[in-house]
Amino acid sequence: MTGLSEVPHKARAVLDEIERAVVGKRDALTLVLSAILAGGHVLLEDFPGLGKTLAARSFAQTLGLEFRRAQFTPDLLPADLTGSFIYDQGKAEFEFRQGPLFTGLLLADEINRTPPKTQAALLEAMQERQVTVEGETFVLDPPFHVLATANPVEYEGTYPLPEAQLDRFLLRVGFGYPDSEEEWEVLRRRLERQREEQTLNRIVTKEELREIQAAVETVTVDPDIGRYCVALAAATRKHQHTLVGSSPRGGLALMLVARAYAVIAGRDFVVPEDVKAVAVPALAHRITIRPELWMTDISGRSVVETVLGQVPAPTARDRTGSAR
Amino acid sequence: MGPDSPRPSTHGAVALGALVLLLCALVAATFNGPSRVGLERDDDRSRVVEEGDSRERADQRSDPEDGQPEPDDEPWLPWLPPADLLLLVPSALIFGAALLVLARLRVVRRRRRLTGRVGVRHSPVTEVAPPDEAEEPALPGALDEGARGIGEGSPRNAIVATWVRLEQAVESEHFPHRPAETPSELVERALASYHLDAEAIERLAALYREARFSRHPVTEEHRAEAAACLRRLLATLGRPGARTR
Repeated sequence: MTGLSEVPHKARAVLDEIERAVVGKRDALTLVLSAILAGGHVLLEDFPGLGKTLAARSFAQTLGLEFRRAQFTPDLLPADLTGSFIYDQGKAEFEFRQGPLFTGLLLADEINRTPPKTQAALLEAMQERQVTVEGETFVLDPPFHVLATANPVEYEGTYPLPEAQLDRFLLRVGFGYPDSEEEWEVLRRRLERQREEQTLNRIVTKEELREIQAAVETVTVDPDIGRYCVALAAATRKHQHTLVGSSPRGGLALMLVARAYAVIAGRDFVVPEDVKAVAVPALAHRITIRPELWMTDISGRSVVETVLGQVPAPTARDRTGSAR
Repeated sequence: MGPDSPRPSTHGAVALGALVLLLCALVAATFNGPSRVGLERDDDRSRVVEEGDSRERADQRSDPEDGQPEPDDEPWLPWLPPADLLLLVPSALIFGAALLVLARLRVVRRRRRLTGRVGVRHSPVTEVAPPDEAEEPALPGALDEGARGIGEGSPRNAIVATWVRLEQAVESEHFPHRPAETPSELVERALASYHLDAEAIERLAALYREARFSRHPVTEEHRAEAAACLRRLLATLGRPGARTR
């Protein structure tokens, strides 16, 4: 049984192993791992060629999860994801052939290239962790995580995810370009490897991952920290630049990811710094900016940054008022 | 919905283009029509006035090759294209401007989304000028008081109380309290300007966070460690030049 005390060591081992493949993205990888340990799904949004797919594959390998990739194209149908009933002539009956959703870690590549109907099928599976085909419900075995990618460069022929569906993702993370040294390190490692594919070692098993996720549930969250998360989410709704702010689900996501982030940092309790560290990736994608501000540089990120600078954080004096 | 479905993001551009083309067509039709009608009316009027004239003159008027054109029919600036064509120019300009605005909007939205890429937020540490030497040095006093008072009460409360004293001390010395700052951000910002022992500051902040936000036992070892951090900070603060940067 994996206890909370062992989790930081294992989490760091996982990140170290992934960094063998994905160079210099420790912060982003830590966020993605936090979301997985919190039991959620992640939207990776960035330019092509920055290692989003590699990162997803690396997480699957190191976390001992079965990995499947679905390329989201305009002609992808819901049944292509969920699976469908196929007639077996030998048995003279229909049998269910599982789609790529039946896996441990699904890479939904370029999720915004497929029509809303197919997006909805995936997002329903993400939320309910089950799929229904022709009236029959199939449960997706845990752990089930989706790492979806979206390319923000090309908008032609895309179907941007509606806000209600973006809300299903615990985090939206960008990797960003590596600096020149990191980029050379990518090239150097490829030369050293003498082959294209990168194979990573499994650090934890599927069962251990579930134990770690259960251990994360025992992390202490002070009531003042919980109220701080609520206040941050609520403040995005009152911000002058927002048309629609974060839902209560955003505040919940903030607390859940902060909890996992604290565990990776080696603590069994959440501090305000954890909340601040994950606030932008947890809340920014849940905010809709007013249409008249689309021509400006105001974004969900800037709103969250502003809110972080305005909402009072839990202080020492709150504690002395209720000294234990 | 399949591959033949219209692309949602191009609907706006297609609709805008169709609208502008429709406007151009309307403009062209509107200005061509009345000009021709006017010419015909002129012809009719001239026929009525010159009803008794000979057919040769009518033939001459209808056949410009054989005679001089009427002065009203002669364009003022013959090298210019027709007026209805000229009216298409502003329409084309409007169309071009609309396309530019659309392109700009796309670029801004794209940039906004790209700049909205998210990562771990690192708290900015603002460098703050140290207080004047002439002012009451509240920070050394608070550290000294904290070192003396840390032995009182439970270890958890003692560590938190020490931190509260530090907060109050730095707030009184040109470091305005920012409610959104975490306590550790506030004190780290203030203490950083004194060039104190960074390791001691960080450890003391970690002990405070543990005492404030955890539920596991805070022991005498934690108290002793906090007291040691305070002593190190006091020693650094008392060193000559510690209050100047």
